[in-house]
Amino acid sequence: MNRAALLVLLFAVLSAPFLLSACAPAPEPCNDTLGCVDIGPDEPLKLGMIQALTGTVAALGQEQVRGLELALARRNGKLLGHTVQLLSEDTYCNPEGGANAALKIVADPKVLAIFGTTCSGAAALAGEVMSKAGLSMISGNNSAPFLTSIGGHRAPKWVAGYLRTAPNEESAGPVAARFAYKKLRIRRAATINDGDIYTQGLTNGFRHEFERLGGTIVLDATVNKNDTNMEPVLTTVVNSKAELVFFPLFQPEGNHLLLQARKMPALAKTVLMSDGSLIEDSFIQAVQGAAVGMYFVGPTPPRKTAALEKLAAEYQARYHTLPPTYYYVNAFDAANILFDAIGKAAVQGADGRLHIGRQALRNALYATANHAGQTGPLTCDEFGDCAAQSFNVLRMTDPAGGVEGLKGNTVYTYAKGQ
Amino acid sequence: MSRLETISRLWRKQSITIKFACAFSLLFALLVLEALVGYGALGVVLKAEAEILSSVEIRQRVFKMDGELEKARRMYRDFFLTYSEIGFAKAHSQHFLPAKAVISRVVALSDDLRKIVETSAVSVTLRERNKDIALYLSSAQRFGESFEQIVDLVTILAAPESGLLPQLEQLGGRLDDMLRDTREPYLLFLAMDRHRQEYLNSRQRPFLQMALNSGFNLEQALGAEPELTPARREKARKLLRDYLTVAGRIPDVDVKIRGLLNDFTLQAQAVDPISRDLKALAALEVDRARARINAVSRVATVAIVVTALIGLGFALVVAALIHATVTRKIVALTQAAGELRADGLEARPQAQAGDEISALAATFQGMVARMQDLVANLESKVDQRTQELAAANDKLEQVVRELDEKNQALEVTTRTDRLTGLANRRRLEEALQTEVLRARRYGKPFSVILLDIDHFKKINDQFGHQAGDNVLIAIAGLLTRTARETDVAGRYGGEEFLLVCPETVVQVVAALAERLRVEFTTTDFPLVGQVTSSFGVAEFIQGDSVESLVERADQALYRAKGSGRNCVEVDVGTAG
Repeated sequence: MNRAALLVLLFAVLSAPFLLSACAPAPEPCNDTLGCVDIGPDEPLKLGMIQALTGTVAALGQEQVRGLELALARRNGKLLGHTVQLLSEDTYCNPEGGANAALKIVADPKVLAIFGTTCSGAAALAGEVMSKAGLSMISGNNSAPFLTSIGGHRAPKWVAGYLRTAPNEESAGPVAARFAYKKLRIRRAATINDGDIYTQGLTNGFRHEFERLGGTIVLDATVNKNDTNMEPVLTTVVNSKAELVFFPLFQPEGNHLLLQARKMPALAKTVLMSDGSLIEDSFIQAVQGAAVGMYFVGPTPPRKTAALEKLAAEYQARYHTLPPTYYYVNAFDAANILFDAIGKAAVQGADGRLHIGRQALRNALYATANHAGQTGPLTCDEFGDCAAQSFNVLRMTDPAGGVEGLKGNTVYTYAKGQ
Repeated sequence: MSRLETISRLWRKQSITIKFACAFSLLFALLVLEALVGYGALGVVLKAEAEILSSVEIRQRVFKMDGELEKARRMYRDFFLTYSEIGFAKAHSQHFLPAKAVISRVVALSDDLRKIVETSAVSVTLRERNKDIALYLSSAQRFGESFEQIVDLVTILAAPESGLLPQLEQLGGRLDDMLRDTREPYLLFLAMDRHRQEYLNSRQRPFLQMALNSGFNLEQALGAEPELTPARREKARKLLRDYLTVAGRIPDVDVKIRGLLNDFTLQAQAVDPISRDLKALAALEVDRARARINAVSRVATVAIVVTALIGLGFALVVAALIHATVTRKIVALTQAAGELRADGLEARPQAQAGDEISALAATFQGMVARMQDLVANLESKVDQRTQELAAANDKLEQVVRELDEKNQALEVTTRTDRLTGLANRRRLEEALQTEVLRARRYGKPFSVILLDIDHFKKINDQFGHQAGDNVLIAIAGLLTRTARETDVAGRYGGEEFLLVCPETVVQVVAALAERLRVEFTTTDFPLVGQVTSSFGVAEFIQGDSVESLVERADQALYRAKGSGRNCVEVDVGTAG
């Protein structure tokens, strides 16, 4: 070995680290107008999940979570080869809860999209926060018209990036009004909401359609969430001489109102009508016979198919109980639409990283067409509505039959466009 | 053969250049390693210091941010506590506007904090908390927005005169005044007003609904009240409708306010743990960074000491190897050269195959062998030459001796009269010259005697030349025996003899001449019988030369010859 070889060897040893460090690949640029989420090969794909996880509507929130979990389970818990990390926050089923939950989620720049909410009221502010942050959000439960469109126009709370697979209940109130006016021949009606945009949307829709048909809204009252004493408002109903009370309330306010109404002789002949938020076994079990004769307007349940039965079996196998409602199916569809859109928007980089543009994801979500959902084919419109509007009016005759029995007693059906 | 021996043999085979290159390369590598360890440790310490500084700054900012947010909350609380007393305008300027400014600072602080955490040298754990800071930022912004909304709502609800509550109060007062003198309506009014008050106390909507129901009943009662005139009844109805309208709006505003208050609560629930965690995490970061500095310092110290010790040990090993394979050989070579210088031609440095010194030792061995050969040849040649020189010297000495003898003989021959053995004329002249010079320089006297045998021709003629020569020889004998040791006697020519007497005045010399004359006269010369001689004596006088002195002695001799021979005549000049 001569001196020159020794020098070369020394130079090679000393320069090796610098040569090796020069081999690191540069990150790929992001051209998405809303920015990109880059996911490393070993990193999880983060999704926010904001639902009503506590309180009286936690059961609905739980159905949403389960729908997502079932959809994810079918993909073995992975999307595009990445495990999915769910960042879960409670909305408490109110606007400020939704806003704060969304703030927590969007604070993490790695979160790609949000699955939620349970309550439309929570979605109103959560959607604003989410949209401002450039994310997308899809719900399997929100149905308030205010969130997407009313009468073919953007609704007041519409925000870019918000979609849902629960049908817009823009038609639910009118369907109830038409049923009341045409089938029950009601001419004087009262509406009671809880100040939430969901219930307000329904009562507004009812009022407009009922008045349009020639009826009179003799009372448009509001109760507060957590109110227990419904007698004053029921007294007002009595005073108004309403023949029907449309009260699309959640539990427990709906329970209180029903039970206390049944105790008021002046309301013995008054028709009581609520909506899908009370089409739950827990409500039926709570009010029992008080619900007999009561009407409910709610989304038409999905048709029973083998695929749906298979999903129900998966539900039962996973959670060791029968699904209490069909809302988990909407959640399942919402989750799948989101997952498919992520797959379409994602770009596998040469560096092994996954690049997902936020605007690209939104575009993919809005481009969803004829998605083979468990609730039927789903096509998302420009306002974010993916489900067709189809509602049934149900009449409770036998509380012992539970939700299934109630759903089997459909007295009126409305499907938009049919 | 063991691996160590293989390595050792391989090492010995390498040239000195390679050995030095290997040794110094490894030493250099150790130095580089030590430098890298030091550099690495310094880098870690600097990074940890940066983390500490960043963490401290983050902590300070969190404290400040938290303090500002708390300040905003206090102002928000003070606004609601004081607006009824100090008025909306004053509460607005004293609490609301400053609170907005504080919120803006909180927003700016949290935004700065987020950037600091993003860009500064903090741990991954703290950096991951940036999403919490982003939440803090958005919550602070939301707090500001909610604060404005709630102030607007409170303004709607409670602003003097224009607020719903003052309006309700005013309308209630007017209704009170109007219905005070009625019975049933007034009782219903009081019931309605009581429910209103119950609502305001409890903010439970059913109470207000009860108030509305009482209002409904009151309206019914107004129609049946006989005490009221139609105009007054209509006025009362209008007041009641206004009252019910205003009252009906209040719960909705309250609900919104309650929602915003709930919003504040949720914000606080979200934000408070963030600031608390950030402070704790920043403190933990500082502690962790300090611990890392200590750990790295310890490890670096140990690493540096270990590498230094290894380097030292390795230097000793290298020195030993260099000594064993280079220095010792050089020393052995030097000793061999020294022995060689000291005539130790038996010196033989070891010459192992391999390096340059071994090659030099081999060369040295060859050189010594060559020198031994040369020295051996030189001695034999010197002996031969010495013997030859000794023989030549003997011959030369012989020649010299012979030459000296010959020279001496020649000297005798050249300075002695061959017949008589006395000084010849040349010798006499040299003696005269010497004495003349001495007499001139020292003023010493000297004299000469010139004698001539009388009638010598007759002796030759009569008795033959051999007889004449015998006379001459006999006279020479007489002169030699009679003259003093310091005197020089010689044959001046033919039958003339000269006697040089140094440091002798003429009188003494004249006496000597006389004694010689007598001696001659009394001597019986073989074959010839009696022979006489005439003598001339002269003494040196200043100004004399050899020739003038001899001339004066010759004059005196001539006179003796003239005076009848066989006499001594003294030079006249001398005598006078």
